[in-house]
Amino acid sequence: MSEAAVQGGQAGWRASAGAAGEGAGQLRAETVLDARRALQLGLAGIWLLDGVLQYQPAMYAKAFGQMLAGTAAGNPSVIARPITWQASLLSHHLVLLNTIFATIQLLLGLGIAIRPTVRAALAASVAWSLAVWWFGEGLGGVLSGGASPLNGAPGAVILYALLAVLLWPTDRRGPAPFPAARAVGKHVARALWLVLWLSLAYFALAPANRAPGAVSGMISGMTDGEPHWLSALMKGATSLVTGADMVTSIVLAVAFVVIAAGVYLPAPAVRGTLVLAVVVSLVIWVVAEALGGILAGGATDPNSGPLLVLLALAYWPARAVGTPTEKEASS
Amino acid sequence: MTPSWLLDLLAAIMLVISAASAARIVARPLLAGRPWRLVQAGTDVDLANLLMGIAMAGMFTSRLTTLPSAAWEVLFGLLTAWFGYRAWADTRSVRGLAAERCTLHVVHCAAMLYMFLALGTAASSGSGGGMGGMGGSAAMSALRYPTLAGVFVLLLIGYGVWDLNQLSSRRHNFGAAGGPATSIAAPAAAAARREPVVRAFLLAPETRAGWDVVLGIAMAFMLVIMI
Repeated sequence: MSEAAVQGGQAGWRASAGAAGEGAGQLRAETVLDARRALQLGLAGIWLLDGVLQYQPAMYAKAFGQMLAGTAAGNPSVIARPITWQASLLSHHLVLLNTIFATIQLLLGLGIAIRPTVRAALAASVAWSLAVWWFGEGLGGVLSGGASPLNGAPGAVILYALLAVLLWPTDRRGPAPFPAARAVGKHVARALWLVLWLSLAYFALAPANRAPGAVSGMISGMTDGEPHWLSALMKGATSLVTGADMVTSIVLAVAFVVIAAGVYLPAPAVRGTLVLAVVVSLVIWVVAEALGGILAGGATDPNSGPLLVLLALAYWPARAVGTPTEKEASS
Repeated sequence: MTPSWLLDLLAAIMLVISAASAARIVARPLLAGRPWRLVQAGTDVDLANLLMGIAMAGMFTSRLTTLPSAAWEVLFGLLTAWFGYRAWADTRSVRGLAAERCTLHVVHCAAMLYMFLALGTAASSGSGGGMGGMGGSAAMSALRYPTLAGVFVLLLIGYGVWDLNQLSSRRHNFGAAGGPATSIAAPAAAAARREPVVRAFLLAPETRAGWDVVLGIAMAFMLVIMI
């Protein structure tokens, strides 16, 4: 990571504390962290969580290989055949390969968190994400018609790659209006945002996702094994959308279109749009994705909710350079 | 089932951290020129790491089980209360970063306490497993309050990522790791520069912060298995 990026202070905050310890006064620390680095750390944390989850006993069972093989269904043969081959290979060397997978994800998280290795780790995470998107998620069901914004479309893992690109530690000339624009420029960053959220709107309106019982069935299907409070929340949501699947899909699609276009508006409207994006992402994550199924055991990742939140934060309009507020300075 | 060799490896790492923490407890008074004064600055953190390493090694591998669950519950209950008190006291005196490090130790000790309580509950409810290592982890599926486990996992990983960023930034003085009790850290580090590399590494505040990261990730791993 470039020193400029570390110290840059676009929307950065400074936390400092100084106090005399018992007779020593050596407690002195100063931390400067810019918005992009904070987002990188968020991404590192999610990779670490993925790595830890991948070591679960359930991932060492044959069902894991069968689950991967199941993602081939409905995909074109050119996509499906490598998935089937890879799932077969995994089932024959389950312990070794799953341990390697888990370790890779753990190392990606550690690598992003450690400053000198952030570039290598982000680059590796892009390659790994694309591989998992194909071999582990069947391209997120995008080609098979199974993709829905409520089940993590267009594949949670592709969002890792997108974030790695947008949070790449380099800076283009001139001030960037938001952290995601620092590496790729504001036009490319906004275009990527537009494509992502419009694709979610498209998936929300896909015939399979607006059919009677589609939305309610997807939510109710995730309640098994969840803690009481979460399953009660999801059951409440299920009863709310039962019989209104089409309306729910349309409301979601409208929200996604508004979010998609919102980054092209003036800064105050952008903030409102991003707040909407965060709220929608969290609602989907809690109610439809059941926090990725982590609390029920056997989840491989926290699903798309936290990644969409990170993504939205990467588009938060930057403050003028080097003007941290008093509140930030004291936090 | 998570392979036993992986759990054994983690148990070995935990024992290394315990040994290193024990060495710190013994070596720091000697290095400070006050060998009669065993309780030095930061001893509480080293002691906590020592106990956590031993306890977790026993949780990973049943062969390394030492104390009964109830004893660990008492120990980690006391440590949670101690670091909680220190975090509270540091916050009151506006020692932000010291409070931050103490809060980390509160989270570590509370997570250990939660795990032992949860494992004890699972064992007493007849679901098997108990404290006999995580090899029988399938029996832990009846874990109560999984939401709390999830919160601990997020906190532990969050602290781990933050510490790694700080350690690699070279801007953070981990002398704050022991809070007000680390008044010896700076002179100790200075003295350590004159010592052999191994001893300097062992006594460096950054080393202890590194142990914290490893312990935190190992705890997160264990909690995820228990869910």
